[in-house]
Parts: sequence; structure tokens; C-alpha cells
Amino acid sequence: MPVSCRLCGGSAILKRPKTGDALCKDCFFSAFEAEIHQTILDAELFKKGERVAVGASGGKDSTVLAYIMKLLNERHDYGLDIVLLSVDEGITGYRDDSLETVKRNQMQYDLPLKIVSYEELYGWTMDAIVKQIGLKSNCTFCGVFRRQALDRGALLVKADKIVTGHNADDIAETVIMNVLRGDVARLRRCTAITTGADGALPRCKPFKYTYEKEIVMYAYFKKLDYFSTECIYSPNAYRGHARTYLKDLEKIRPSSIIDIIHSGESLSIKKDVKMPTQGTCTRCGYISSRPLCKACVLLEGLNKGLPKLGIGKEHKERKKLALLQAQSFNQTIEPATSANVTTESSTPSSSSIAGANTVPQRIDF
Amino acid sequence: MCQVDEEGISLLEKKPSFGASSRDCMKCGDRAVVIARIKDAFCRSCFLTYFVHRFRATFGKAKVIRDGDKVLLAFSGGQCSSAMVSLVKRGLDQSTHKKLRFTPALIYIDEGVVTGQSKEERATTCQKISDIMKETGFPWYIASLEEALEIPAQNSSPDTCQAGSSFHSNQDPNTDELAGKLEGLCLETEHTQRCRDLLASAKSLTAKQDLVSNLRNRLLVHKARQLGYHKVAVGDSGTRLSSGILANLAKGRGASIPVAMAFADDRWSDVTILRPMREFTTKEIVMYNALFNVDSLFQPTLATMAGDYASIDTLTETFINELQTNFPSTVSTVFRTGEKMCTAGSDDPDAVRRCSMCKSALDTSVGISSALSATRFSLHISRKEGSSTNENSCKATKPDDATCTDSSSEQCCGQGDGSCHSNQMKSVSAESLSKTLCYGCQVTVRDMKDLNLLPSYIVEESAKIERRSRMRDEIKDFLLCEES
Repeated sequence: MPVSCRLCGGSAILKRPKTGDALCKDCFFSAFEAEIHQTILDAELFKKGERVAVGASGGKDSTVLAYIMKLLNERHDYGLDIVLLSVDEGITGYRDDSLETVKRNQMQYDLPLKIVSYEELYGWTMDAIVKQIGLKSNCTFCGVFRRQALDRGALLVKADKIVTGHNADDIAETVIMNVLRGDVARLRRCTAITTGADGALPRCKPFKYTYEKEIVMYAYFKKLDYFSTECIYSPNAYRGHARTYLKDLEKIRPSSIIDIIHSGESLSIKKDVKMPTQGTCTRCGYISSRPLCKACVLLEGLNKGLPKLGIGKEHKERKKLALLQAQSFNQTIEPATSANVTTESSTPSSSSIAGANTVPQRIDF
Repeated sequence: MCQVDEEGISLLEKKPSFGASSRDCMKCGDRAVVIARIKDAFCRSCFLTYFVHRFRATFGKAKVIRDGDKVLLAFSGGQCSSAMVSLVKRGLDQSTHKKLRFTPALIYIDEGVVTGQSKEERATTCQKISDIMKETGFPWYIASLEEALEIPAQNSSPDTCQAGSSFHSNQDPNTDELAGKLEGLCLETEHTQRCRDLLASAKSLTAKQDLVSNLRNRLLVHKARQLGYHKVAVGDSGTRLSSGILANLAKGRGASIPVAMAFADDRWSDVTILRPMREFTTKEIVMYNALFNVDSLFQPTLATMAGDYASIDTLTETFINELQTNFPSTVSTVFRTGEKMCTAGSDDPDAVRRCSMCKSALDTSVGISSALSATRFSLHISRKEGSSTNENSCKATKPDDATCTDSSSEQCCGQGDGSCHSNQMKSVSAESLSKTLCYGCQVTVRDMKDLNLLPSYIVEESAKIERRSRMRDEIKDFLLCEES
């Protein structure tokens, strides 16, 4: 028996995961678009005349985001200047393919595109990093670097704001992750629709209340072209637990995702809990709660052949580094060989990477 | 599959055994028998010292119990509450400077109605429980869960009579008399059937479990009031509270996490709920019970044999326990995170509006950019409720233009003109009820087929709050200052 659309009475084609209502294709499109528009209005995400960089990875979320930003901008006259911004992490067999999708999107939607790469920003591709660190903790590098790369790319294209395709599922997952990791500072921030307004560039998430499934539905019925392959380095075990838990919750009660976001929004942190204070990195000037930002610490680790420096207990790795430096210092004095002995050459792990020690140790942005 | 691999066996043998047997007690150097926390090995007597000290410290830190306070211990027969009772008994026997300084009594709530036990089964359980309780030498009481449905709405005239079929004893009645009374306690009353109907009306196990715990908490508080206690201690362990934090998060009850895990839960004005077992993991409690021969009585609940994916609570419990096995600091991390949380804007505890169901602070007056209003908008846009296209139609404040909004179709008879005929007498509209409920309780109520089955303490209280707010609206122009 054909189910009829709850809105227009025509034949329904889908059941909305968010509300459970049966809708036809057109009614779903208009509901979906109206909701994003409402979110943008309610949260006052944009001002007229702003230049907005859409973080585009070629995946479903960002493809739909680019499409819908252009659509709503024209329909409701936001007066925004939209550019696509992609980050090339340097992952062969994954990012190169997805960037092709972004390039196609650029042509289809007729939006300017800027690509920034880890290679040019940090001197390291993810492929090279994975060779150093292995498949464990590599997502830490990628995540930390991507965050900065997006900001730097947005500055290059002179954008006022960055919009990302984070959806309700992503945010709910992050809430759970932060509780499991005990990260209260992030727990407080992670449900905000706009972040970083006080620091560098504000970032906002118009899909904050949009179910991942509905984004896929929208892309599917609109026949949008997107790239859907998991990153080849992806298996991030711990986040995987949170994700599985969330998917199971959604099966039990579909509203769980939005319920978790509500929970996150109605929580705050006790005043007497010590919070990290936001400052700037003494090396690169990026926002950081410590003297050195995470990206600089990670980069220093990579360049000095101690990739674990920024992961886990930093002081232990620092000790190792000091030891190594003392050794190389002794070597330079006693045999009085060349003055520019690099610590990298003394660790076996880095010697496997050709050209690792040609990378500049410090990059000025 | 069943092949024996020689290699595998030799590998297994080589593995160093990480049992307590190979380690020494970290305190006294004797042979250790248990590993507490993550890797602290203890011998039997040092474990006891540690355990008892931790229990006392939990009370001491909180400073909510004064000398001679009367505390009602909620005893279910399970591992945690049995350990709690045993620790209290130990604490009262201690030498003066370590002695616990309160007067305890036990209360058992029989929940046989939930799992559909017969009258006889319930009487047998009560008999067993009363035997255990008698042994403690403390005064003890027994009540049955369905009595919660008799509870009058709060703030109505204080009910002084000893209502219901509760049975209590300060002395030792003779066995025959006791048996008779226990039999009488579990008589099928009209409330027994109502309680069954209420649970049957909940479409999901998650909602059922929420309702049962709501009934249980209400009844505990109500009984405490009747019996003149102002403090009720429950046996929730740290493990259970941690999984509760996550489950509450998933159920949209983020705002009630702080009270739901606090040592002193003050959401009821006159009765405080205490959680003295919160510093222990379930594993430690079970070890204590095993080492010191503390008896407990296993009783089936709704979740027993229901499977991991049956409800949000069961799923969360499985999830936390699995993580805890692989990452032993999971429970404590979640617990500490929960301790750092507070509800947004809860400065004055007396001024907050409270949910008429769970009594936690109302979390529904949120800004325009919020999950709640986004959900309302989604429901509105994909249903186009009412004739008005205004978004506010789904937040209608006047009951007369409420057309059973944001309720699933089962709750409404489908008249569509605002006249719900699902119950002939007085029907409870989801619309007006949800105005006095917190977000999480609204979600629970959405899973109910018939709202008229909800306990009167919820419905009446909700109606009362509603009337008060209408009265206030009428006179608000003449009020000189804001008063709660």
C-alpha cells in the first residue's frame, strides 16, 4: 500500500529519520531547506556582504553544504560571497580522489575553490606522517593540522567566516567523546553553533540540527555528486566506540541524537573547575591554551624524529629529547665534526623516511 | 574451530599471570587477595580498612548528616544496597571516634508488579527480604511499588494517615503474624492493575524503565516523609552512576545529571537522597560482599534477559562495562566529568521551576537557536500543524488552540479540532502536560499511548502549575516585583 505524503497527500517516498513522518520528495526538499534556513536565521550565522569559506572535503556533508549554501544564498538573498576551501592532507588513494569531486563541484556550482595542502603548510604529507607514527594516533595529527589549515586557507582567501558540514550526529558523537575523555573545556564548547568568535575566524555549523541520514537522503534524491570512501588511515578506535554507541542509540530511539545535543546545550561547567585559558602560541601565534600550540608540538616532534612528542605525556618525550640533544651535543664537541648534526639522524625511526631531515624545523605563517 | 593448537597453548602458558595471587598487599606486604581500583592489591584486612574508610569519607566530605539524624536506607536486596547496609552496620559498631552518627532504618520496595509476579511469588520474596532485614536489628519497612499511584500531589494537604498497605515493624512480630501481614501487603489492589496498565502503555522499554524509577523515587520520598525521615540513602555505585550519566545524556536529561549523581540529591525540598556508595565501582562492592559474606538476593527486573539493545539504559550499561574492561579508567573519568557539571543558570535553587514528573530543574526555556526549538520547527515544517503558518503555533500557550501538537498520533484520538476524546472523563492533553515537564520527561511521555494512566501526582501537579501560571498571567500587570 502506498503511503501518502503527510504534507501534500501525494505518494510519499521516504520517512524522515528526524520526525518519522512520511514525505514525498519535493516536500522533503522544501522541509530540509527550510530547516537549514531557519537554523541560519535563528542563530544569526551570517551578515550581509560577508565572505564565507565552505570547508569542502568532497564528502556528503560538505557537498550538500556547498549546494545548499549557494541555493539559500540566492533564494533568501543572504548577500554572501561563497568560496570553497579544501585541505589536501596528502593521502594517496583517498584525498586525491575526493579533491577531484570538489573540483567537479566547483564547476557545477560555479564557486571559486582554494586548496591548501599540509605539504606546503607543514612540509609533511599525511602519508609521510603515517610512515613515521604508524596507524595509531595518526588521526590526532590530521585533526590538529586540518583545523589550522582551514583557518590559514580562509585567511588566504580573505574570508570572514568558515562554515563546516558538521551534522547533528557528529556533534552528538563529540559530546559523548568529551564525556568519555573527561574533556570539560571542549564539552562546554562543542555544542555551540558558532565557535572561535573571539579568536581567529568564527566557524559555524549550519547542519548542527540536521541528521546525517537526512543529508544522505537529500544528496541521494538530488543526485548530488559526492565522494564516499572512508579514509584509508581512519580506524580511530576510540571514536569508533562512541560512534557505534550513538548508532545503536539511534536505533533504539531515533530522537536520541537531538536529545544528546539538547543535553549538551543545557549543561554547563561548575565555576570552580579549573579551565584552560586561551592564549596564543609563542611560536606561530595561533590560538592555544598552552605556550606552544598543539600543531607546533606535533610538528616539532615530527621534525626531531620523536613523533610521539605531542601524543600522550609530553614531559616524558621532552626528557627523551633532552637526552638525545645532550648526546648529540657531546658528539659535536668531542669528535668536532660538522656543526649541524641533526637529532633526526640519530633515531632509527626517521631514517626510513627519505628527506625527513630536510624539512624546516620551524615554519612561519 | 575446536582444534587444539599446540603453539597457542604454549603461548598462553608463557603469559605472566596477572592475578592477585602473585602479588603482595600494597599496605602490609601480606599476600594480596583482591585488586581494588585499577591495580591496587590488598590483603583481606587492608581491603576492609580501605573500603570502610572510603565509605566513611564519602559521608564525611559531604557534611550533610548531623549527629542523630534519621536515615532511611533503601534496600533492594541487591549487591550494592546489601553492601551499604553491611557498611552502615559496621560503622555503627566502630569505636567512638570512627562511629557513624546517624540512626538508620531499612525500607524495601517490592517491584514484583513490574515483572508480573503473582501474589504468592511476591509474598515469598518479601518473606526472604524481611528475614535479611530482621537480622540487621534496625527498624524496617516494606512497601509495594503500586502504592506510588496513591501518592497525592505535593503541596496538597499533608496526608497524615498511614496510607496503603505498607507494612512496618519496629519490633519483632511473631512469624505467623508476619507471614499474614506480608500476604496482605501484596494483595492485588486496584492500583496493581493500574500500575500494570501504566507500564503496558509505555511503548519502549526505555520509557518503562524511566517510569519505574520515577515511581520508585517518588514512593521512597513519600514513605520517608510519612515515617518522619528527611534523608534516604540509596545504594547506587559509581559504575551505575557513570552509566547513568551517559544514559541521561542520551535521553535528553543532561540538565539533571548533576542532581542525579550528586552525593546529596536535593531536588525534593524536604527529603534529601544520599548516595553513599558512589565512590565504589560495582566490582569492588561485589568483592566486598564475597570476602565478607554479605548476602544478597537476586531479583529480576524489566531489563533482565532483555538483551543489550533493549533500552537506552541496558545499551549504555553494556557500553560502559565493555569500555571499562578495555580502558580501566572509563568509569572514573565519566564520573569526574559528571561531577564538574552543573545545570545552566541554577544559581538560586529555590527559584527554579521544576519538572512535575522528575522534579529536576526545568530545562525547556531555551533560546531560539536550540535543539528544542529546532525539533519543534522540524515537526512543524513536516506536519504543518494547525492552520497558522507561524512557528509559534507549535509553542501555543493557550490550551484552546492546542491541537495535540508535538504528540505522536497515538496519543490523540485524531479529532484534529483540539478535542481529544481518548478518555471520556478528564483527558490529559500532551500539550498542557509537556509545559510542566522537562525535556527528558517529555520524551518519555511521547512514548506513552495513554497519558491518563500517568500517576495522579504528575497530572495533578502539572494541572496545578498550569492554573497557577494562568492566575499569574492575569495579575501580572499589577505585580510589583518578581517572585517565584
